[in-house]
Amino acid sequence: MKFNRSSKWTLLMSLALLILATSLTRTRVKAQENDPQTVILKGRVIDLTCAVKGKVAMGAWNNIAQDHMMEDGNLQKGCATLCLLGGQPAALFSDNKITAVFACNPQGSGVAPHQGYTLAGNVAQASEVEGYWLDDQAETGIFVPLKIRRAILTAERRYGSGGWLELDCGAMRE
Amino acid sequence: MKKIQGYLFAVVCISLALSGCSGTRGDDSSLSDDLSLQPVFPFDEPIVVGEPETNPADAYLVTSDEGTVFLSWTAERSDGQGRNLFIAKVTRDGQQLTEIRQANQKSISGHGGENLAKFAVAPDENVAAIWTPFSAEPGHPGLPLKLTHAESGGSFSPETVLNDDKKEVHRANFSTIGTSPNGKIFAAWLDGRNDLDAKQLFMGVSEDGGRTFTKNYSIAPEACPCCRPSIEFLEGGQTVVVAYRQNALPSGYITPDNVRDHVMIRSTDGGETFGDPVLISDDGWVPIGCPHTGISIDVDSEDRIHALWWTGGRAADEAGIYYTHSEDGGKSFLPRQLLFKTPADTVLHTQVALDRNDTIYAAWVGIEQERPHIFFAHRGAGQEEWSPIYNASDTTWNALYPMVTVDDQRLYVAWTEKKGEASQVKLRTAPLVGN
Repeated sequence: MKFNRSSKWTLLMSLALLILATSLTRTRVKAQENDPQTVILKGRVIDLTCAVKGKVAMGAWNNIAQDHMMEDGNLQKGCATLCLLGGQPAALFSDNKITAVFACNPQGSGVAPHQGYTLAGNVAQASEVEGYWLDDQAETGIFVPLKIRRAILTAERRYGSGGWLELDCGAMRE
Repeated sequence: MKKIQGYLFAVVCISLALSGCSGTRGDDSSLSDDLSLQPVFPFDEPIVVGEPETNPADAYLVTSDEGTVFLSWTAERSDGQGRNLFIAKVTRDGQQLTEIRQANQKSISGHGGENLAKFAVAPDENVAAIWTPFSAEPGHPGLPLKLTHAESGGSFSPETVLNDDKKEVHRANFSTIGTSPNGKIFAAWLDGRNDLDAKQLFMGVSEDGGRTFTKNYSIAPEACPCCRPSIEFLEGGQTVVVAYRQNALPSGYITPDNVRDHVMIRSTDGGETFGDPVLISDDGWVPIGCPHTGISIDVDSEDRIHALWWTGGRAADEAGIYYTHSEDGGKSFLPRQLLFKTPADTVLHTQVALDRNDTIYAAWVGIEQERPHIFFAHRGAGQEEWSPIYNASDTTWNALYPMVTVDDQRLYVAWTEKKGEASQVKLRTAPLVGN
């Protein structure tokens, strides 16, 4: 994917600002992790990298589903799952924007009963995610997910177990 | 913490880079506004099916051509490895279960629900049952569709595999099975033999009461991968119709054109070949997850096809239980009729049956007071007005997966109830409307 000069500059500046923000908030992050206020977010789990690349290249959120549009115009089937299993970060997409970036290894640790316990297993699905913002005002947009459930559930699940699955984030939450 | 910081660093970089990028239908004649919940229908007291300590579930009802009502259910095995399937006759006006037989030898899946075990009753009370087997493997491993049969009240045969693809990894499930008026048993199911991620609708036919089935054949090139199809017969079995939810893409493929409405295919040569699908209702539902809810159909004495289903609709306020029927054997369907509004985020199940007078009996799961109940309504032949809506379940448990059938005298409603890890099956009956 090609970036023009201004895009690169923007990225570099953002990176610098982020490093600064991260170091300044480190103490607060630690406090928040010790006593997190959990909230539930709604949206679609996406592969952050491909979604952003697609947005930059095509000016539209074309890569928020399973299949992703490549630079050559071809559609890569099942790209989202493959990319998350390959270790790319996951995010939440809602109201035509990225609303949270997940601090969670999408692949999980491999010990969960099935893929539904990982972000990779929920990619492209409309979901509800319970967790906490890494900083208490959600300034960085980084969200530590704890549980996930599909936005649409059978009555059996919704009124039985609730459909929540404890997310396996691999080593991210150790 | 260092691991987290490292990962977060990469994640946040992209996050910040993104910050600048963020940037009724008219054919619904809503009945639910006119219907008040009146839990006064002359049901008998429900009977509780099976042994309570085995957590019975997955009720399924069939009335044979001879008019005998059969009920099946599953129960936990004592070894904790899956469930067993039991089939019994319902006697004494629904107050007793007799000739209880275990259909399986090896354990069957405990998932039930939309993919529950089913059976058909052929002439001479030959019974054929199909189900998904139990697997100790986590997740959704590739599994075959198991088949067994019993002749005239005898014991069931050792199970065989219905799908004949001979592959190591199967994906055959979400079935329907029914007996044609000419005595043949037809089974249809969703099958991923040609593409594990895009299922087709396959069929097999038995002319010997379920003992053997024909070579499998595809009857629809794509079908929603986790919604049960439904089969019925017209013109003495010469016409076979199968309803299913369209679109084979896995649920993660959410695009505006990934509509999951119900369609019907019909065969006029006794099930050998099927035509193109006909839309049952233009609901325009694009699911935001795996639907797990098929459609229920039944046929009246004039070969009209009646259908009952749940849809999420194009917008949340369209979600509900809908009914329609076809006057021309499934070539077209009348505009849908809303029976009951429901939440858009909760998938619900329906069942429809007709009696000898063509009275329609509709049962569905509805949510009231933050709990699922079995609701029920009926409509006389040729009428537009439905009865009041009754609460058939009348329980403090979560009532799910309704089944309905009739014999010459009575209506039979069965369902599964769940509370925590416990489950039970209930059956209750009432005189047919007009009897």
